Amino acid sequence: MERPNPDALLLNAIAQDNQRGKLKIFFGMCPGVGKTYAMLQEARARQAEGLRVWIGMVYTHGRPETEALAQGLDIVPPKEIVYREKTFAEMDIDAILRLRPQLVIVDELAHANIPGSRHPKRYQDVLELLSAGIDVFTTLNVQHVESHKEDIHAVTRIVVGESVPDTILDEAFEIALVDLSPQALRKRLAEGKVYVPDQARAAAAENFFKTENLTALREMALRLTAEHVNRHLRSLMAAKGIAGPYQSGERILVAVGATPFSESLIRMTRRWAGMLDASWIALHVQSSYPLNDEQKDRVLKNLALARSLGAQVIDKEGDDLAREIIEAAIKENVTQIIVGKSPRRFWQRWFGVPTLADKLVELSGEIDIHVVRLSGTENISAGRRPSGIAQPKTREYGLSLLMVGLATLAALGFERFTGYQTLGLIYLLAVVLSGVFLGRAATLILAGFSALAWDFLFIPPKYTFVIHKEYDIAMLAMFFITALMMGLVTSRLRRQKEIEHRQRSRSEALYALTRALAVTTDISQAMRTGTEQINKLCRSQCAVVMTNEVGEPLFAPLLGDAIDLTEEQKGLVHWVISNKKSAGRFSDTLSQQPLMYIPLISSGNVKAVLVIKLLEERQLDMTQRTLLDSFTSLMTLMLEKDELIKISREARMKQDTQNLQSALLDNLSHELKTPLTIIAGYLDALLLYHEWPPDALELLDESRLASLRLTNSVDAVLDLTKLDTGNFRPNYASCEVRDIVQEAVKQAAVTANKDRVKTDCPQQPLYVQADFYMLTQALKNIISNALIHGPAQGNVEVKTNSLNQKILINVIDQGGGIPKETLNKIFDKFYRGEQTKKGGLGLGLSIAKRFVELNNGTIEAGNLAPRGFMVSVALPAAEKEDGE
Amino acid sequence: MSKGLVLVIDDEPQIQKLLWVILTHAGYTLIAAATGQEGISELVYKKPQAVLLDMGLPDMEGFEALLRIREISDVAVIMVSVRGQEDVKVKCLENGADDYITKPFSALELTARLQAVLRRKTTPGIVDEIFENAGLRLEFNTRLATRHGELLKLTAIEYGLLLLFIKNAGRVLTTRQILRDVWATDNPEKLNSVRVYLNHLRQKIEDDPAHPKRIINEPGVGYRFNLL
Repeated sequence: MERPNPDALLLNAIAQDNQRGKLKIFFGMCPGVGKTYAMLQEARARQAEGLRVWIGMVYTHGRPETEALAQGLDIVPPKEIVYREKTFAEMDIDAILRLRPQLVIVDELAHANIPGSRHPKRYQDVLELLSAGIDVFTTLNVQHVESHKEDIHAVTRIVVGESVPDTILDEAFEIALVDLSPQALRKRLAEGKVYVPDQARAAAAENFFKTENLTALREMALRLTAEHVNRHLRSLMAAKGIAGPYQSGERILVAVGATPFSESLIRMTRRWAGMLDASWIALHVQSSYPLNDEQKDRVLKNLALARSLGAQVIDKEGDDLAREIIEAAIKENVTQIIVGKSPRRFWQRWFGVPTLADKLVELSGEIDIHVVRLSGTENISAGRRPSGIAQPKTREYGLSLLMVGLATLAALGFERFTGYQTLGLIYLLAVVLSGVFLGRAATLILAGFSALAWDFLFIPPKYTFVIHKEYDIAMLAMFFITALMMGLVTSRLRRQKEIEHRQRSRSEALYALTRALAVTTDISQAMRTGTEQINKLCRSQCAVVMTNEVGEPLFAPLLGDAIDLTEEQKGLVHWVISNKKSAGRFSDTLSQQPLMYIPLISSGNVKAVLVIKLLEERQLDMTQRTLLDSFTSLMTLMLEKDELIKISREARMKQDTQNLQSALLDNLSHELKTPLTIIAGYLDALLLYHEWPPDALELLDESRLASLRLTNSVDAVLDLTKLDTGNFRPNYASCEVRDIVQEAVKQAAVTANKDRVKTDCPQQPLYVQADFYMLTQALKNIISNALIHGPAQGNVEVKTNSLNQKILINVIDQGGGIPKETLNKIFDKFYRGEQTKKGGLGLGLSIAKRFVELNNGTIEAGNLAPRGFMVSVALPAAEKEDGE
Repeated sequence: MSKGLVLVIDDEPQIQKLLWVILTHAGYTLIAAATGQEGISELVYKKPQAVLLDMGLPDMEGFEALLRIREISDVAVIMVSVRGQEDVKVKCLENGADDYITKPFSALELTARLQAVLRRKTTPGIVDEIFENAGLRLEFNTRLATRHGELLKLTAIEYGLLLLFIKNAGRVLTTRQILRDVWATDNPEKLNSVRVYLNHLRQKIEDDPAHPKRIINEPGVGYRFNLL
């Protein structure tokens, strides 16, 4: 299967390292949906949380509610730019960069700046703010998205002036959809709550805000938002190292039909895609020719197979197979198309009718077409309709004959006034009507019978099929051809309308669910929403059985409708979980069971089982079943998302706890250090600025030393607490050992005579990769210890040398050492030598040990002969450094 | 005669008082402010020569106060911090702080730092043509450096380093600041070069390179050039 791409992971890591600001876009279908309002509302909430929020630029258009919201926030005064003797107010980006707020509000992302500003477009200003590490809230309408300009023009006939590139949507950390139903928006428009610049544009606005336009725009906005959610999810998956869909340059599309041949075609494409590291798509085109149940089942199985193999499944309707395939391929940026080889029927060969592959090659442009023949091929090509014209229902035949009868009755009535020729028009009417209401075959039959009835009953000589006049023969022939053509054209028109209607209702259902899911954060609620939509789709009752961490089903509570499951049915749920396959109706397993059981599988495990009980005893049609598949994959996506959110939430909680501890420690440090600073400071001042008799001077000096010792102890306790709570974040850098020794000696000597410490370093500088602070503290503690425990006037030697890629720092005093049996205890917390009388918490060496070990070093202690005690620190030497 | 006006921004009255005792004795005049806001308005109205700025203030972080001060003034700023905030110290130094001092501090240390930053602010750049301190001598026009009369052979980078240190004598420079000034780059991979060249320089200008006295490492922050 696919694996996480190291480059993507790296990019992610870099993205997190770079303190780039986060962009949130409040996205809407058109002006007036309340984007600015929603943005300011959230900005105020953030400010209430303690964030510093500034308004870079906001347009309230005089709406009082919006203005009230803006009032609580600080405003960066706009810059005035004079252009063609007029003054324009533009966002002052320099002022914002100087202020460096945590969050800045920038309304109207698509705004074009007045010439003379830093950037021609506002989105460029925003990008600069983001790279300066400032978070930005902004607003955007769908019509300003570059890639949608043409669509918008096609739908609304409005030419969009300003636009922002689609990449800025990718830049967005979050896209918040501000949605309003077209009806509600029109109401707001009528109430004058939507800003329209001036009177001249009011008429244009009225045109723009038509319900059809709004519906189309809304659909685009919803789709863009959903796409962003998916992309975001994908990068989230990459960040968590979960294998998911990865884009390589190649994208393969395979056309899937109702044949077993399609199955091998799918598997072959999967292998191919794996080799090319490409993403792939399985496309099924539903034609208006009905499939029988067996064929329907096979299509669904094929599509399910493709989906389980990692394909994106697309289901389209249309009769021109080649055109539909190419359209889908272009829309999805496909680079290669795979189709099965279609055997040509004899008449196709005779008349030179092009095959599917021929047509594809002709239309394909830059896309490669692969035509594949696999062994064991049945005599049906991939994606083609079943051979033979499908049987229209007998009812339609009956109706068409009835219409011939009715037309004949009418003709009999009219014959007296019009003569027999005109009666053809009545039959023609019947044919057209049949084209509108009945199938194609019925229309053909109707046309034939009409011609016969007209000839037999009306064209002289009557009651025979014989015609004498050439004139009548020509008329009848023309009638027949016209009727045939009109019938076929109207029936095609009707079919197309039906397809369009079905497609529309299908995408509406999908968007409804996507949207409902996008706004719910609670997974149970999302599952319930899913079940409600499925119920609407299939006239069913359904419920979701969630599973726990170890994959056992949780039958209470069921999410969705309360379905009473029998023990046998519960057993089937278990089966679905362990086999990761669908069961029950319309499946391979126990298909006589009344319920459907569909597993929702995320990262290889069944997270939930969907149980569906159909209320009507009938098959689901193609559309319902493909939609059901889409719904379940959306619900699976939600489960995946939920899991990812849970993981990141746990990580955040851990982080929060650490932050809290660290804040407490900072506070503690401050509370302890302030009085110490004051005591030491005053003693210092007393000693410096006043004259004292010798005995008083000694007392003051003792006090000063004591305060410094106390500071050391406080530092030690704080260090240890930090170590124990994991709040020490080592900051490794290349350090020079001499600097470490010097600093440690300096700190240790604060409370003792500096001259007692002798250091010995080699001339050549030595380097270690370490946290400077930690090593200094470790060494300081060791030296202090030696100064305390050695003889009062004895020297302490600090010897540094390098040996076998190791750097050794030995601290040697001239004291009596310690009994051999306690040697291994001296690095324990709170351990103090038996004869220790000189104070100390017994923490110094234990802290030293922890610090040294955190820097990959070792620490040892030992008595020296004949007299003396040595603590030895060994650290790995850093690579030799090179200069320029 | 006052040596100068010093603004102390610290919310601890006791620390305020301590600083008052120390600095008054050292000959400075003090203005006190308890919050960042108050400090900034005192700065605007009274125009002190130096600011002692505590890292943690009730209304804002010391770093933020520093940025706000730098928006309106180039007054000398010394951050007053506690141990273990090295990363914040570096951030402050790279954003315009002149120096920092760690609590608990000694009176001598504080007055010495204050004097150093004030001297640099009042005589910006190098006015003299010759720098001379405890046997180290540098003629700026001829670029001749000598230690106790002995000629030092300095490479271009070593000379650049020495010049930067002399210009900022008594003040701590972060490794990144040194990198930016002498190497004119922000590339963190070059940080090790700074250490290497500093060592070369130490070998040449220190009387006892094993115990450097002129170029002192400030743990976790950077380097300070001390006048002896």
